[in-house]
Amino acid sequence: MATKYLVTNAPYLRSADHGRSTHTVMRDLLIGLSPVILFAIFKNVIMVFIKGTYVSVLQAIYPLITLIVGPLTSALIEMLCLFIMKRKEITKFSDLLEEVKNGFGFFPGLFIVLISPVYINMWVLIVSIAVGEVVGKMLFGGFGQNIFNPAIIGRAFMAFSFSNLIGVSCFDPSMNSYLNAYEASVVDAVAGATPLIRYSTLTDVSYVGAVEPFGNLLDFFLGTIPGCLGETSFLACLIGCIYLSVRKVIDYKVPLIYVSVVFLNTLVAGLFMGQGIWYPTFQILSGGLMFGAVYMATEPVTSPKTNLGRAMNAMMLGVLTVLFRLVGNNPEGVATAIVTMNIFGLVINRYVVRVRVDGKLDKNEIPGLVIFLSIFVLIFIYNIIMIV
Amino acid sequence: MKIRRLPVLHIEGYKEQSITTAPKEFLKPEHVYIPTLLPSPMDVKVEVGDHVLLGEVIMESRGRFPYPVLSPISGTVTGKVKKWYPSNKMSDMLEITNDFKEETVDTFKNLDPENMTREELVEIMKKSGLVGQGGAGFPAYVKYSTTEKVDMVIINLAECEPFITCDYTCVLYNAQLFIYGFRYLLKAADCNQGIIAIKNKDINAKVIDYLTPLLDSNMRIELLEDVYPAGWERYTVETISHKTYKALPIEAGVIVSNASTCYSFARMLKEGIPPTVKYLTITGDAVKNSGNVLAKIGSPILEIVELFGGLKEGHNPENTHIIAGGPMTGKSMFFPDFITTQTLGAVIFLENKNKDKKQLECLGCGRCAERCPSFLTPVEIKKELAVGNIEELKKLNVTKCIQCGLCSFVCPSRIDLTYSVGKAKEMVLRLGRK
Repeated sequence: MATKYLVTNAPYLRSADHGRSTHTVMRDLLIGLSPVILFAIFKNVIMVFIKGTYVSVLQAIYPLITLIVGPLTSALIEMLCLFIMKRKEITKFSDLLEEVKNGFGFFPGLFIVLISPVYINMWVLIVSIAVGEVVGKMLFGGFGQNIFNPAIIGRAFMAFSFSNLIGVSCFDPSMNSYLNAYEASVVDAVAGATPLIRYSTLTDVSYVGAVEPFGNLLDFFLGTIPGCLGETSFLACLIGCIYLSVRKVIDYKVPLIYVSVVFLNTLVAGLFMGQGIWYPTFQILSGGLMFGAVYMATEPVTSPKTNLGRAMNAMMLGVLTVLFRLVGNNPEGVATAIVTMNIFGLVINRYVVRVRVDGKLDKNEIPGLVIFLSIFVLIFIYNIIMIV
Repeated sequence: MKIRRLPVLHIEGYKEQSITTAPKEFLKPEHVYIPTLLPSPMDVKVEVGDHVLLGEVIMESRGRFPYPVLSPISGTVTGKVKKWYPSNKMSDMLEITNDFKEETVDTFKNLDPENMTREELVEIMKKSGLVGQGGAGFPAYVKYSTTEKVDMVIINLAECEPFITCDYTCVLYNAQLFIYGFRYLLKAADCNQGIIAIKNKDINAKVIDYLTPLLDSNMRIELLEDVYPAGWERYTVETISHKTYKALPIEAGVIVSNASTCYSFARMLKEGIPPTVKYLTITGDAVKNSGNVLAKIGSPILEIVELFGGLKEGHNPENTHIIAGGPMTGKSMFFPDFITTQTLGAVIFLENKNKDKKQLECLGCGRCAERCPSFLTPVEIKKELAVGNIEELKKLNVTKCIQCGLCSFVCPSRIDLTYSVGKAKEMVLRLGRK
């Protein structure tokens, strides 16, 4: 009998074979992260060397070490988990490597390093990455199955479990881990290392109290302020955002809506408090908002799958961030908001799927939309009342 | 009225390779094979040993809209054999051996369409067993015997799948006959507005130039965007008539016919030959030459491929698809010894260099939902199918799927979404019938 020809399911053309595979998406994500990584290295390693204020070379290059150790740790842990989970299917070491390659295991570690303090204790970092990777990703079944963003799970674990260690430099217990060696020599007089930590301790909101200790708003925009390793530069995140949007890796509408909602909400609250335009600008430029909006809120696995769903998710993220950050007085507002919306995103996803049928709103879906909008407006107004 | 915009995508055409040479002819096959079980079970009217004329009714389909199947050649019924049908299924087939006399039945001779009434035109369409040659194979007379008022007849010349150029060739080399047929299709629909829908792309400029001077005053050419699936009936009707419809285009006062159908109709009226031939594109990496061929229905593909120099030596069957139909919606075949039908437009021998690449987990990018022209969410449907949740599948409107293949096409993780949605659709339809 003649040889059978190859039979598979239609279609026989796949864009994945022509430069749009998941691997290229992930490579683009890495390229999109590079402005942030390069800026982090520039600010925390090169600047420190230039100013020469470091105690030891190890301290100066410590951010570089974490940037290497973090991704490696998470990839190794993923390999271990995959080996345990799939040991019946995996017979050769190359199979395991293939699985790891298809699981993109180094990303959670990289993200956790970028949203951690500059001089974080190495063991705290490794344990957090392990928890994020195992609890946030592998327990759900690995890549594509996770409900929560694994990086934020790891970071949240770090914040809750090592709250006394997280703010302390691993080189000098008297120093703050958020300040690099150069910043520590300049801004040590400031109470509260990062703008948001300082802001959360302020009793009286004013430009002089919130912004001036760290320079001006341009410094906030460029990122030459203390903060987590990769989060400080709005500009670097913006460049990454543009690249990723052009390459269609992320939906630009998500960061746009997210940041706009935070801006609007704090603008109205600020106006009631008699603050100028600096107040909402300060809020969107500080902390991990832009980083979270560009790289975490858009993470496809944990976002809704439809355009409307993503837009709803981003709107909710905006008001929740304000709620947690300003009303709840928690500098980690962005991370908390994203984890919260990972859960409610499922609800939105489930429900918007049906909104999309026929491309128009179904009558049955209107009550749900109304509920969503009322919750949104309620939180928006509640935020304003509570802040004022 | 502002119309919603259906999500579509530009797809590379790969059409140039099959239109560089004039179409060949394959009108004298030794044997033809007519399936008795597919696409639907048939009542066979002839016995083995009978002599049949070209155009003699040899089978009648059962079902809601019965249509006759005519013999494409004159000759003798020599047996029943099993052969492959272009849906990758085996079917019993009648083998007819050619006597090369081309004796034709009288039914279609000396027709005078100018003096025929609408009813007579539809009647002759029914007798000829003409089915829509775009792919669905719906009997043409059913559309034209409507009692609704028909606002426009659209000839679908979009040919939106990559590689296929059979409709293009058919119209390019038979422009006058095509317009002649269109004139009487309009008469059969009692309609005064005829539209030829064609994609706005460079290679189509030639066809448009040929057709423009030939058009009657009640015909015009409408350009469609160069996107996939522009040839989908709903897309064509909604972009041209600016009306939406639920199930059939006639609800919007539109009849859509494929260009090849129109050509077959014209040949019957002018030359007295019932629809027994079809233009076919043979192309792909594994065949020596690419091109189009006018072939008798029921001819074996292997003999047609010989006209194009046969298959390349050294091609590896395990890495090659034989696609019956377009690369987006067609079926891949186990063996190349299948036959042509009225609805088969192309056979593509496509090498697949990526067959070993694994499907990854869903990344959740949502591209499948973004691109679905029926506004479905394939990824959710796949999940619900895995747990067999029929109620949820119904809510997700799986029956609206048109199997265009875009969701699998855009998926960066190579997930077979189209297949899953198709399965889900089948499942819901099957339970609905019970």
